[in-house]
Amino acid sequence: MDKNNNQDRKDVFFAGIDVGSTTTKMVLLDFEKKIRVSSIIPTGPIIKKTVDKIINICFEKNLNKIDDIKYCVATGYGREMVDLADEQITEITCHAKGVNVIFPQAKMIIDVGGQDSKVISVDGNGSVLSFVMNDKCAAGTGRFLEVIARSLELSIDEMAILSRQSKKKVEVSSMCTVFAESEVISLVSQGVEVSDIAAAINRSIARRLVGLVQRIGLQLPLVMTGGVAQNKGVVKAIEDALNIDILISTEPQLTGALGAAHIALQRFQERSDSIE
Amino acid sequence: MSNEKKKVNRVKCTANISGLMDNFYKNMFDDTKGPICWCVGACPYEMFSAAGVRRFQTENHAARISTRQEQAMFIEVAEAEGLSENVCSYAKINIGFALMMARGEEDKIPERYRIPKPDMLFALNTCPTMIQWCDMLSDIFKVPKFVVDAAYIYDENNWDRNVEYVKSQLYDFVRFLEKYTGRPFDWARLNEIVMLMKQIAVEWRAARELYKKVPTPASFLDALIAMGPKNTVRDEASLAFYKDFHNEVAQRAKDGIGVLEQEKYRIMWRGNFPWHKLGTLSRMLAKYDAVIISGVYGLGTYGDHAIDNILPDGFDISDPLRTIAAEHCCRSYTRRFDWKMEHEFRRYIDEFSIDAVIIHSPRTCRPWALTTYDMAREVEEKYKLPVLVLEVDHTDPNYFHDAQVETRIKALLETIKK
Repeated sequence: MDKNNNQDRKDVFFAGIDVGSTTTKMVLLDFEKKIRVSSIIPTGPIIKKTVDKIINICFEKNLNKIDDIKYCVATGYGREMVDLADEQITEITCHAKGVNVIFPQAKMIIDVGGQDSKVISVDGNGSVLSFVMNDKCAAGTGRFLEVIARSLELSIDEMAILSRQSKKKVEVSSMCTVFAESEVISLVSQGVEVSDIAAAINRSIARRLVGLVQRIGLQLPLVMTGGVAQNKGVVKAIEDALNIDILISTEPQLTGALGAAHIALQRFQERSDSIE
Repeated sequence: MSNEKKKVNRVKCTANISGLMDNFYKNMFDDTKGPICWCVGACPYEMFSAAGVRRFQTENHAARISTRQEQAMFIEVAEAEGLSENVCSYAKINIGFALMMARGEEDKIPERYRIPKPDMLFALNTCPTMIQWCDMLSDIFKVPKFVVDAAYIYDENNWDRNVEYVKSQLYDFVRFLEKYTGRPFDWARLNEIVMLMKQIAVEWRAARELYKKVPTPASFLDALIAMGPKNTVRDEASLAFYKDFHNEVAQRAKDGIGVLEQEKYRIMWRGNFPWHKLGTLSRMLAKYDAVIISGVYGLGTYGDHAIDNILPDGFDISDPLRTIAAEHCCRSYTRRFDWKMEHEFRRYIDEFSIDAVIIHSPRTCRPWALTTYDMAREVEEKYKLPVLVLEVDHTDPNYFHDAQVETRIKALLETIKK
């Protein structure tokens, strides 16, 4: 491909696919680094089918074919199941890159996904300096919110809205998602307001995440990514616990895929430069 | 591309260890070789040989079971007895094993792991768990026990005092052994064994220093496998093995033969090691052209700590009990404090061309896990190296999930700037 041929460059794309435990995300970038299309779908039990589905969705929206993708980076736990991928890179690196694109001033990232959470410290170029991840436990993740919301017969969004109406501080002390659910049921039976319980859940998640932040040491500005970043209740609880303001993009769930797509573009350019 | 399996070129003579270890454990059933003592913690092996006592070290046995992924049964027995899942997994494997023996369930124990019941017990508090572990074994088997207390080494000022304190207890242990064997302690044999250990240390040390070479002729994982004879067997056959090990590693170093076809990342490992995942971790790292070069766990022998500038050299052939006190009883990583951290890392990072550090924070071992994040920060700030704190366990399989571990290791390697 002739890099100086602008007509060709318009039909060239770089893909980032983030196969997470709960959702799969895809971003297509063009040569000008503009997002041409993106998609988020639930991750099904057969990851290959989910990946094929999201690729088809993006291609239909953007009128693509496979040959238009000059480089693809896959990330997330399911990254090795993406046949289209030229390279697999961990979500730690991809989130760091994605945040750097949107918030180049960021020094720390909290990413809370469906089944894991991580804190990453980064330099000004989007490179990872250090990271910590939650281990062995869904407490402090999106799954924790799902389980509790279900026990309260609410959606996660409803729970977030209700939490803002909390008037009394109660504690949900359990470290374990399953035991926390039992604790919540017990609080409901005692007549504790659901809004107070919802606020307690937010604080419980915040405590776990603040613990991870403190292992590395708080760095500002701090950005939050992942699906849980859309939960205003949780975000407020973290902000209160750390006494800071958190930066969040308009689509925090796409950060990993965005970062992967940018790395894909970068890799393609490096290869093209080395050939020349 | 990342699914590609890559060959790990192991040191060939480590294949002979199996035979050495099997023989050692088979000899445990030879009653002509004296009473049998089960040992918990750092064990003064030399003294048992001099006293004509068969000694069985419980941690090494637990590690051996774990390398073959057969530990779960024993852990379940121990937990069913009431031990919490947070208790040291070495202890749970051994206590589960002991309970099965005491209940007459030896037929459920694979033959290769069977050991006679103890006639006596020995413990040294390498960590606080050891004493309670020994107490449990004492309750199970109702045999006499001898416990040595080794004080914490806060700084170099209490090193000498601690060595003398442990040495004085070892004199008492000599009397204990004479009482329960009915024979005088063989001081000449003690000297012989101590000298043998010194020779083993020289060969072992020389081999490990060769790991500085790029590419490394052997890995830390080769060393973990190879440490079996010096930690457990400690006889003339062991010395022969270490001479072979040294010679093979030296030849590979001379010929430029590495562990990997392409060695891209050299890793230092700090902490004890997940024995049940030796092969898995080796292959996982090899996939990304990474190899563990150095580590401090379990590799110590006479004089190591002097070379690493951690503690004075305690070897003195004219005073074998002091030598044993110094080298076995006062150097454990779990008895020392933060001031040692710097020494642990500096020499290895400086001299072994390390690109990144993995610090193991074992879920069932508080002493090893206690200072992990302080260490991580220190390595990052002082040596500007990326660090991964890996929370798994030395033998409990419940805490190791391949996909989670691989993501963390790969993320660590992605942060290395080359």
